[in-house]
Amino acid sequence: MNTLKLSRLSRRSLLASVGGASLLPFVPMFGRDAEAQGGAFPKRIVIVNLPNWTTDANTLCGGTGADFTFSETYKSLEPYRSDMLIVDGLDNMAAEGAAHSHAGNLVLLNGGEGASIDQWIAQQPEITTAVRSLVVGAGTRNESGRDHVISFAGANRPIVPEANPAALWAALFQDFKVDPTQRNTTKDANKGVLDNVAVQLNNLKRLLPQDDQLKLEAHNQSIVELQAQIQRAVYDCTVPAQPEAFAEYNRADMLKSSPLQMDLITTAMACDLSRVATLYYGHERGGPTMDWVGGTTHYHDSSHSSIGESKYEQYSRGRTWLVEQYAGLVKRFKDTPEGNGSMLDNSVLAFTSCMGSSNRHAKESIPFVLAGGAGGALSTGRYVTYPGGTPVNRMLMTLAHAMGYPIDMFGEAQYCADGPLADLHA
Amino acid sequence: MRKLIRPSSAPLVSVVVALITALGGCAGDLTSGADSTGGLPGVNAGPNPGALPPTGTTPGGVPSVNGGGIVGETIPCGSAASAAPGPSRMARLSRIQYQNTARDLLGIDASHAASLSTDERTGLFAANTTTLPTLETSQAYMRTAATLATEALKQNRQGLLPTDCMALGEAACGRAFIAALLPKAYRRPVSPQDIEPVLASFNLGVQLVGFERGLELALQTVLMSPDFLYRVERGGQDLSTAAPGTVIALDNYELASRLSYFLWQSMPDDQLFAAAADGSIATPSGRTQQVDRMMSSPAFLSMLEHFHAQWLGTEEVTQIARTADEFTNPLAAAMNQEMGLFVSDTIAEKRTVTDLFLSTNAKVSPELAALYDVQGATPGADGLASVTLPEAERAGLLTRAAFLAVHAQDARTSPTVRGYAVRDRVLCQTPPEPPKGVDAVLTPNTTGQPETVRQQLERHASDPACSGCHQLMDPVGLGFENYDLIGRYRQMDGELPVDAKGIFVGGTGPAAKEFNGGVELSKIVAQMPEAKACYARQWMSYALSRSVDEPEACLFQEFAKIADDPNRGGIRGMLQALVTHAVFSVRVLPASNK
Repeated sequence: MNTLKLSRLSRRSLLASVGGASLLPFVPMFGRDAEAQGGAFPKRIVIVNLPNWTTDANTLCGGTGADFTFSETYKSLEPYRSDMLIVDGLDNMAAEGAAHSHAGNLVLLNGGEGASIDQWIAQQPEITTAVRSLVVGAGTRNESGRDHVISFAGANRPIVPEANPAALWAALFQDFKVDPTQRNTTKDANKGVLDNVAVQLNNLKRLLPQDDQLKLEAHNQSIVELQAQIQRAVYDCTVPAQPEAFAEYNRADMLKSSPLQMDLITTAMACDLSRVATLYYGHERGGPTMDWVGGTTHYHDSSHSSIGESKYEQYSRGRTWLVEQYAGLVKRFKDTPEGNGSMLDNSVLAFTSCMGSSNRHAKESIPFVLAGGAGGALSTGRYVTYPGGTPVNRMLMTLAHAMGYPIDMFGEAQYCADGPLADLHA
Repeated sequence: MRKLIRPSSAPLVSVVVALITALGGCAGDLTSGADSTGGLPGVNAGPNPGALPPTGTTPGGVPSVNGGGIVGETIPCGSAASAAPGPSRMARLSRIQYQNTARDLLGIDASHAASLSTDERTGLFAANTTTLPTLETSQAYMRTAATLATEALKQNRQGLLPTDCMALGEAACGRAFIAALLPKAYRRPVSPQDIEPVLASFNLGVQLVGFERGLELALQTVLMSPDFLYRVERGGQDLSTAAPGTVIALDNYELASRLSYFLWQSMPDDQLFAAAADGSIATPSGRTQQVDRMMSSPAFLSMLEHFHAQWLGTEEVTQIARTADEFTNPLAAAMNQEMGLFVSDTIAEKRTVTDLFLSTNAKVSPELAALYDVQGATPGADGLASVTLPEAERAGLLTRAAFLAVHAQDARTSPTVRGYAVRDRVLCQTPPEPPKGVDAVLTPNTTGQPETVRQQLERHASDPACSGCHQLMDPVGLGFENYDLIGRYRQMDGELPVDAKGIFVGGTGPAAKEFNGGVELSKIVAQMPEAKACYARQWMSYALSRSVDEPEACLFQEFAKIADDPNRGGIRGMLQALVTHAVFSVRVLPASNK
């Protein structure tokens, strides 16, 4: 259990205090015997992006609080009822300027500016895992640039999801196969190369005008972060089978890569190689024709429909399939024993989408479905709805809270006045 | 008044000379003869205003040169007009540039660099001038560099190691390897300070494993260096205290890189480096000679395809989804290829921007021949048939399948999207953002009667909140209604006959012009000065990796005239004029992003 106990702090004061004595750092625990050692299990967060959403009669659950019924689209989540915290009614308010476009993704997880919540958590000094975060995609493509990104390391620092499970596997496990002696040599070599690159950056920076300097400072920061990550590498995990490399982008890759990417995230988190992941299913204005659930037109196209239209039927099946994928991730976490329970108990798995009506491109009433209590931080087993005008920033603060960071500001200040969604907290 | 910082070392003086020479002439003069401004100063001449031709020969008499070689904030660009060059931010190599550079530097196939993440655009073009690198960016660079280093030393050992390197002994060979590699990799002469960190990596590798590992780590360090990854432009000066707005003259090596990263999307070759070293690149005749040579390379043709695919958005055609069964991967690839060959052939033949909008020449695969309904021609060895598209149905770029298929919705045509593309990309008249809270999507047809796209749209745009902007786009895009969502010519939209009447209204164009169908639309566009100026402006943005705005209007208008003049080399002539113009040799320092 995270022992962090803080009164509500602003983001700024928290940042000022981390590294000082006010926060007890996480003790990185490798393996699942942490409890036996009297320590805490690490908390993990996975955010799943399901694009082109619509909150409608087929997705809205019935009832309220603990007394609720699963909607048609969310049926696959029923086995995890006590772990679920289903939230409706949040508005992606920072996206309001993007009236016509799909561009709500750009602010969904950062609340309007700066780093997104997944990366903000990953950047906290207590997170010292071998891989800072896993930003991966199912059915995305590496060509899809910042227009489709929800994960930002900071302002102007988009992270494009890794769409190829084989590449994700390599990033996580490639070095496990290497002989330990050689591995240490490689580590020393990488460290030396990065040190020398830092020297080059500094040499050049001194000669450049200010704006160029800022660029190289950011570059240097990325080198420092990479340096730290390389030094943190651990090789304590049962290496899963290496997935077959995808030859080239194919519109049907989503079906094939979804289980592979989820397996890799689950394994990496079970071994504490990483604690933060973001998983994209395609992206806005994209998405395959889901012929595996009877689709005859592209997911995005099908989302431009309303209940009653024939196109809506395949949209609905597509959405149901996407929720089933998320349910599959919940199952994987639930099936991973940890202490007296499962890894799900120590995690929060969220799915969300930047629009509440893909048909109208409306950024209001977006879904935010959580699973897992993040080590008892969230009060699960409930369905909660909020009135219009409740900014998603409040949920982002709640996610930080769940991960042990009780902040009262995230993203644009104007959307943070009411703090996190405290009634979701345990 | 902005300050010009002059390069200090001796060979760089010639840059300033060339700059000042160019200041005396407009874009057109530079293509029609290097000495049109009254004689070339020798490369040894100092930047002394007294050595310049009489100011009376400067068109418009713009007082662009002050004493001491300080350049004002404007540069002349034709009859009685001047332009203020816009600021540019340091660019990180695009993915294509990285791949090409690694290939040309190392002499191996570098296509796995394709796994580097995607580029950010400046305007319409991949340029990486704004986004900042993340942990993941550097990690990808590190992996790619490691792989390239290992493979290059395996596959092209002979090309990379100096002759008889091993006879020198390992330590000296390592040094010689680095000394030979760095000036190419960094695209400039190097100092001991440049060698040090690379040598440190070499020594580390030797110490950890051995000589081979030393070479690998040295090469990996070079490929991760900012001098390799960024296109550094500082005029050979220490600019750490230079203010935003300062105009710097590029040094000869930076100029060589600007030329090669524009015309080849890659690093300079040996001849360009030589032209930088002897200063000839800074003279109009020397530069023209290099440019002519570069334009006869296949890399130039690839660049032409690359530019147009980004300008018109057609590079996306292989990535989009359309509900037509015929829209297969091979057909999409054929569309892309046809577009590329059309523009590179047109420009290589020294044809004009008007030709781009009107020509019906095409090279088509069998799939595409079927789409264009021009079957029967015999394909050449490359499987492509050279055809003339039906003149009643097609004219130039805007009626090609790739453009029409990209600018559509998944399941139907979109006059709004096509009209927007014409305004935004072709006319540089970007329509304003839609008002907040407006429903962007066509309301479903509930009448029970068949309805054309035109009718659906008219219902939508009748809302007064929308019609203001939509009248810029829809009436233009409706002219394309005789092409379906993958660019097939059609006369029926579902069960109803197509009405492809359109009109240009609003914007800054001429008075309302009516037309019927894509061919007439193309003919109007081909006569619009706005379209030609926009074309030249897009080229400037691509060439300079920055946005090009109104203060430079006289420049792109001047360039556009060349692009449209067959006697001045058409588009090819314009590109020559652009790279020999003063605007190509300076950088204006940007304001800091933060």
